[in-house]
Amino acid sequence: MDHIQIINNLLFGFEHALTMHNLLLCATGCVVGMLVGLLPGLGPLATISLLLPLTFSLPPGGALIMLAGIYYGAQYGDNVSAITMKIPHASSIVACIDGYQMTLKGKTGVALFTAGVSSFIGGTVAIIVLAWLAPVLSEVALLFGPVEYCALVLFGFVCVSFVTTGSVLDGLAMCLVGVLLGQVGSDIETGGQRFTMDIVSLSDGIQLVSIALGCFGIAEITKNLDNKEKRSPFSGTIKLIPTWPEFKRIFPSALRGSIVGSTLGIMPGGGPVIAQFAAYAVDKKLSKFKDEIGQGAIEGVAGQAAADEAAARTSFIPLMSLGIPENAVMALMMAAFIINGIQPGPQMIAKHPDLFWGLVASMWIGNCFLLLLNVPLVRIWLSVFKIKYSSLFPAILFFCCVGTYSINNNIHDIYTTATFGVFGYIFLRFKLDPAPLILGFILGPMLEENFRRAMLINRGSFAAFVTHPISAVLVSMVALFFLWQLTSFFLELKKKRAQAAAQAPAQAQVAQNPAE
Amino acid sequence: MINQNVGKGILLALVSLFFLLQAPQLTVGSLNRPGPGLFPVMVASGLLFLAVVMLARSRLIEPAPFDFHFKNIGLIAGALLSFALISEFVNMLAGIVVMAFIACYASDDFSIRRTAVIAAALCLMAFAMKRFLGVQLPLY
Repeated sequence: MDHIQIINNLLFGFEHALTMHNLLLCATGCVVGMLVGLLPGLGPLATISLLLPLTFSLPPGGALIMLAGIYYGAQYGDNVSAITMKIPHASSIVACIDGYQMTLKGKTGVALFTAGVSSFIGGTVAIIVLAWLAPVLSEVALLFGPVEYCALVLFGFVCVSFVTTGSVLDGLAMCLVGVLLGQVGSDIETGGQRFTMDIVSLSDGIQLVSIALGCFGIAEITKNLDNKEKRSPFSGTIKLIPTWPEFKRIFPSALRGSIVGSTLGIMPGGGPVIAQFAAYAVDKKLSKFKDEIGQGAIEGVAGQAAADEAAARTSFIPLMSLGIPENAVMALMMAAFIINGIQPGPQMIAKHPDLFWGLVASMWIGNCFLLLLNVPLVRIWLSVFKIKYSSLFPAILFFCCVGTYSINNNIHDIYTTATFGVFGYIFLRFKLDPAPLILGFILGPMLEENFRRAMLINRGSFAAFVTHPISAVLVSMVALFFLWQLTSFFLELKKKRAQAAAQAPAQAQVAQNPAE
Repeated sequence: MINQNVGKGILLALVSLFFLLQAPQLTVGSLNRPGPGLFPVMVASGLLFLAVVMLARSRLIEPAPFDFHFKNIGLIAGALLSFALISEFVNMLAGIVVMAFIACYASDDFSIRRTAVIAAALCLMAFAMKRFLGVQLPLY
């Protein structure tokens, strides 16, 4: 695709995104996303789950633009709470390190400004990557048949399990629980009922919103109530504009972060969480001020914020060109696409060019809103922390109920949400992350459809998984990954036992001669 | 003390068994003509295998305590269920008030006066959502 055509496509996208209606939706998404994202325990995944029902009554283009705004707003909100109060969410752990150190040094405003500007730079670089790469990748997607899709989904499960939970065993098990929950309802081919236990409201399957709100909204509320955390609201001063030498330090780091984030955002299992750690590590190696990183350096905020934003943008590429979400947030986005009647995949750019290019353009507009609206008014947004949590959580609970009810105007869906709230809490207490479950739930029906098709085409033989080149590469990577996990587990175990054996005689000697 | 590692293995085994025991009611078919039961049986068997591996792993690694607070999750789930039941049989406004009171009881500094204010604010919000956003809520 030549450059002029892409620029024309982007201009076409701006034409759609720059209508007053879409601008308002984008701004509302950014602000509401940030306000909810600021709340303790509510990262982008929980924020999107909570606010997804808000978009149901909107036209598809507007709904997607608003959701994208909510996502970026929530990410910046996470950064703000990390920098000002050291409240970490999954997507802002790294911001807690140098960002909070800058707050302790009285440079909160500079840290917030750096995070905002770096997000803008990261977002801009990622949009260029997205505009060039997504159409190319959707041509590659045409090489994918049912066997390749199955292999890609399995590869995605393994990557997400490892990245989100750290334990591939726990994460994979949660993915499979999600896939099984996705089986509840009507069979895709025969239309027969499966696992509905004769409950009429389950005949259309379990609602994604019920699972997402239960596992993230309700479980998080309960965890926060259990923790009885008393947080004092931020009360320091905020001076936003940095000095020129400080300003000059932002750019190299933000550019490095943008490149790292844009690359890692495309990888299966990648996304903002892993990108910010990688960008931080790169800055620690390459920055001119690497000795200051960890003690409140601007680079420690700029690099990770740019990577965070860039990865959030480029993770849309596999979703929109292959139709496969590569992390749980993208899985929720995919659900939002489908609810709005759009099937993400290779045909999306050709069938809905207005939506695709409109969304790409609105990402950049969202960045501008973040910079113009959220950064200067951060002092006002922080006042949300002045509301006591005991007054706030009944309101979150109310939105969970109304959000669930408003999908089908069905009270019975609230029982499902309550059930998943309890399950979500049990999972949380067992340290089982529900993010892979959401991915499994959304990809489960797609995996089943492609698996059944692959089996029919190949007459029940699994050989196609190793004879087709793309799937052979993906399957061997999964196999190698398992081998590596197994080997490292046993090596670690052996090391621990050797250490324990070495310590045992010394302890026995101490026990024999206590006087010494 | 309940060992977290054993507990999660048992929980996941129970989930897989729930699906495995129901799957024979569906047509399983064969690999070259898969029926609606085949895929769930394969996935549930995979989950059962992982659960068994987790249980085996729990014997090799140090136990971790399982920390569970019944009161808060009971009250929050109770608040949701009462909201649904009262909305179904009385109306949603009454459901919101009851939900707010049950939920607020879970917080450390429960106060009847503050809860009444929260309930009133939530009722007003529900009115606004119905009136201005057109959300179909059976408020009264």
